[in-house]
Amino acid sequence: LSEHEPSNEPTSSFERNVRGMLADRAGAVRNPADLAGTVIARHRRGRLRAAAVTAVAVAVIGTGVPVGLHTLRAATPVTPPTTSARPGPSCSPALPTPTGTPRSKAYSATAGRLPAQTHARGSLGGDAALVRRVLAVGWAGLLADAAELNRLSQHPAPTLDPSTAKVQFVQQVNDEVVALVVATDAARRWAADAWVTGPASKPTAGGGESGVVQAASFDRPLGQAFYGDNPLFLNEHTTRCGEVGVVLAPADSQARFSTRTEVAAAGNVAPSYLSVPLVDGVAVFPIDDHTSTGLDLQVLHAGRVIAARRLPLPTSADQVWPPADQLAEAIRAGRGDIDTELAKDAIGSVQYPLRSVTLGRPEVIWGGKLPGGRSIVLAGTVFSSGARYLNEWHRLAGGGTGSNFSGLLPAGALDHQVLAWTGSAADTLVVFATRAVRAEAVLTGGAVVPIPLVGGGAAVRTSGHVELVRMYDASNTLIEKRKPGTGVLDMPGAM
Amino acid sequence: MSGTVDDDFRDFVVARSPSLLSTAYLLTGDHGTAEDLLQTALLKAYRHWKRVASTGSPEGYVRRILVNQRVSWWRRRQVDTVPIGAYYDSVAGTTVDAMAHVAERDQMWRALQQLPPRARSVIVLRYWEDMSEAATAELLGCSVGTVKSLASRGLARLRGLLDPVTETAGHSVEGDRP
Repeated sequence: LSEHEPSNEPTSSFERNVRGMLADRAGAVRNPADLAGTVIARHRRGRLRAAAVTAVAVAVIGTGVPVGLHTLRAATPVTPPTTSARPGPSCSPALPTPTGTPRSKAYSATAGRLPAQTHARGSLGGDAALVRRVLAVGWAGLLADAAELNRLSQHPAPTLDPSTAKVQFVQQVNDEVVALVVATDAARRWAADAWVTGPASKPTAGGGESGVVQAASFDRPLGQAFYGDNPLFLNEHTTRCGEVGVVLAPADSQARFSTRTEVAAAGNVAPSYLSVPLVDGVAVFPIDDHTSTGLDLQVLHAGRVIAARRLPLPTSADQVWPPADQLAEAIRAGRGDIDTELAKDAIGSVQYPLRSVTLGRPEVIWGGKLPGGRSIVLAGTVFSSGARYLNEWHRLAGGGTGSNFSGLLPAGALDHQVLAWTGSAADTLVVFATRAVRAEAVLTGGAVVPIPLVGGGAAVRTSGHVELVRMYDASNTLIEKRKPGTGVLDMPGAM
Repeated sequence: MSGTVDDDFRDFVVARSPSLLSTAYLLTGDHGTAEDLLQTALLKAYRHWKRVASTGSPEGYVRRILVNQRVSWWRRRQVDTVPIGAYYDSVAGTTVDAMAHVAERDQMWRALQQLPPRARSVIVLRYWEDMSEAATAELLGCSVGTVKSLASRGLARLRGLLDPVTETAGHSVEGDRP
């Protein structure tokens, strides 16, 4: 629509700055070696990721005093999270069974070149024997990962310098150990990390209980794993006692995660956070439905957020939103011509932009057909305050789905407001109003074109530029006139 | 795949991957994600390489996958990270005067990452790829008007993020979800 188009003014200084910024950033990109070989290897293996995670059989012992999971402190007056550690011996499921060929022995000869590290951060960091063992196990994992990469790609993985290998922390979590080993190449151009987890209570030396080493990929430039010279990791791990979040940051950092907040009737939200206590820059804490699932974990240094990571959304059946019965009811209640699968997609996608707020009841507002017959739905959620989040979702001509319109409506707004927007398909106009039985578009030049409605909405192709949309209720009273392309607001702080 | 196809594909990747990877990085803001994104796009192209190559514009094909895949990823991604190291690396060794410039650019880079995927794609395609509005619209599968709108509002949003005082309350970037 012309009123949205920028004027043809000469390139502004701001636009030049944008170009410069993009050029700066693009110029810093390092091209990976043998990308084609990696892609072909992926194709042949039918794998989604070239950087394989190789399971290595290990044994890890721990002799420290169990400290359990850190207690989380509420930094703001919000519902306190769970603070109790989960029961150690009885928790399930068991550790994943290692797969592949154990490789610890194959690399054991290199252990002698590793630093003689006897101390690390973390609750078990003072256990010299454990630190040495974790270092050897982690180093073996890194080499195993490198070997896997070399097998997949024609280009050899970066050569790690064993003298740089270091146990960054060793933390006891119930009766297990979570530890991190990081090494770089000699030039400190590349870093690789190996996470070591396993049971801590079995006094074994090279046998007995198995743990798992997960060696991450080499494709991570050094700068993304370090804040200056300080390793900085935000991660989550599956332990025998469930998902745990891990923070490793500079010692004088703070950590926090956002809490799920309520959307007020006016559509505003106030983000709040729970602090994650760091001990010497380290924290391991439970990820559960009371605290952090799906929310942002942040690390701050000198008052500034220096890293953030979104934790996984809930996956257990009792946590997945929306509940199946509510979803079915929402689809049944929808007006117009509802594409059921598309409506499910539209509703399901709501939880991603709204991950930091408490979701409400799902609803399908309207469904119809775009010119050409592809489906479109308007769906979302109604919060307990009455405010709504709406999400337009449509099928694309080439397959897949797209969205052109979403946002928040204050409580009650949908009863007296017209929604009207232009779609990504050229000249497509979509309108909806709850009480509407008649609609018309006013084109440039004053021509008035009727818009046939089904269930209060329509998706039509217009023959000219639409200046206004007017929609009327059953008594022929004007509900609202609106310029297409404006209708709902962003939700501040919730995206 | 035959050796000829593989060789042809390798030649293409060697020649064009630097440019494609730059675009992927600007779209994602993260080196690792960018490489994943490009690998995924190339993998799709490789599966049908004979047909893709026969179009005469395999780069355009891959670029289209790249951009659309990025929007798709955004919709289904459950875990995301915000990289911080690149900035830290980039400022090491610079002078105090240069720091202000770097900081300004860094602020703009962070603001860019807050744009919705399609608005961000338009900014990258228009101001980095120097694609015309029509070419951008064709690649994104939308109208020229939508591209104009996304570009205009994307720039306005960038300005607003850099100088919140000037941002209009309730202003939204159309054509995409935030």
